[in-house]
Amino acid sequence: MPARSLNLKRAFHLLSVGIYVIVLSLYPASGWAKENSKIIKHLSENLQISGGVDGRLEWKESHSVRPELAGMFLNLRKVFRDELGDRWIVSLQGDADDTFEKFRSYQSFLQYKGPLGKWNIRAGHYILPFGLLHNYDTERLIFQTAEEETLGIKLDSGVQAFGYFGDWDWNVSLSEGIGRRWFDEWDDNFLVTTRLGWNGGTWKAGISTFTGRVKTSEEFSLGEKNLEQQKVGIDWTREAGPWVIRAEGLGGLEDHQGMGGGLLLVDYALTDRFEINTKYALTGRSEIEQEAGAGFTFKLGKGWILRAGYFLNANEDEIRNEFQAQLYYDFSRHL
Amino acid sequence: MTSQDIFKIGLMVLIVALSPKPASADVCVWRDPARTMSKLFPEARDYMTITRKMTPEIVSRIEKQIGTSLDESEKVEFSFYDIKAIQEGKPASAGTVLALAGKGEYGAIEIVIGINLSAEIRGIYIQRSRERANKALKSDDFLSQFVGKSAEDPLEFGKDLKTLPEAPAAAEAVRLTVKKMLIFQKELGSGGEPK
Repeated sequence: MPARSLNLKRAFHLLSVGIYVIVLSLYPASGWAKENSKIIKHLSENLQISGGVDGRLEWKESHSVRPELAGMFLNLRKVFRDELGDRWIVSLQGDADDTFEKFRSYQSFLQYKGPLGKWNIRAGHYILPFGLLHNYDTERLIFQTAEEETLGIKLDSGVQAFGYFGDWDWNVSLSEGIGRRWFDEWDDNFLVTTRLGWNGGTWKAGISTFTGRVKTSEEFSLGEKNLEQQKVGIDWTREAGPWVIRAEGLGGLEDHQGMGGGLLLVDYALTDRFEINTKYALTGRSEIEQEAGAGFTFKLGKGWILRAGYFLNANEDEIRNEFQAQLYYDFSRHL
Repeated sequence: MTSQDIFKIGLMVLIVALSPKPASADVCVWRDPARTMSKLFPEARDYMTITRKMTPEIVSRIEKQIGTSLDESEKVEFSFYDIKAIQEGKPASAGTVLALAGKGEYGAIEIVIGINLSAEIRGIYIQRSRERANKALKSDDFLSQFVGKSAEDPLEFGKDLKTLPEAPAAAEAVRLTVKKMLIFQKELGSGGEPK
């Protein structure tokens, strides 16, 4: 990577930490914004700040217990209105991951909301509208959706159009296909993602397509490589009293080789604060990988949540055990 | 555990200690407004989000009227959705949508109400609930009793409302949450105009 990019990244990282510290320091006295100049007042109106901390304790057979500040994030969201309603939405989120080893943008975009939100256009860095990812972000959960194993990408930069008609929703995204990397790592990649969904209240279902040349993330199991992908997925969510069941299946081609995958996430609420979580995932390429896990979520109160999970990962050669515990805190409010 | 690990844990504790409190983790948002708005306001053309800050005085007045304490997360702020329609060729407020989560036995019960310009409930639905008695809780028989009520009504089981024998705790959560929203709207204003 060019030295200039490294310097830019370092500057961005330092700036992000600086902004986070300043905002957290000033935040208790956030009333300042209202009592100062009209410009500050205008900018702070409808400005929502949210953030959180994700601390984890991980044990794998390959290494001993490892505590980690898996992520710390800060999001600023500002809505600009016209006389009829909310119109422009700006969202900026910075994440400090892996105990400050990685500073990067999460969902950061500019969105134009059409009348009633029946159609919207979004440009920036966003979660791809594929399968369960479309409306279930597991970034800060222990039991996660399957994009790491199946797509090798979760967020990308580009342009997205989405909206509703009746109980149907649609989403089309054209993006760079390089994930969370900087633009200078673009290598003539491209990605077209679409999803057509149906929302029947307690039932949701969708069909998605994923086509392009994608540079997969080195953090995911596929490793870093440019991969031609053509995939189709279906997703299904059912809320039935204390049960929430989410399922996803997909299949397609990766560099002309067939692959397939499936995911089942089942949550069951035992009380208003305690929930059981389970997961089963299967990915088939040249060999079959499976993951099964069970754990719990316990709401401690005042924004604090404790989660834990035990996982078995298996392929044709070995079975690996893994345990994760998470202490999570978040907040959200308007200035 | 290495000294580096201890440093990481210490850093996390420090960051959390610096973070603002209280959190608003239980605050409910209005999901899929475009899809669901027609349930409450078929004439709607758009909506405008309005957020109002709570003050100790407002919290005190609200608590007196609902007869119980607000949750910590409810003492910070509250968002309304001012529904816009076109009247005589110009945008005008047609009412307000409010969304709030009540505490059910198995998690949050997210309730959405639409209020007309006379401050009466025009429509109500349960957006999300994990209660076992969801069918009864979401039934027209139960929810329709709230239509036409305002902040001036008692909203008490045995007076102007009937409970659900199969799910009295969940019914009480819905009743209290609706009452809270009506009082919030009365105390904080709506319709795009500051109180």
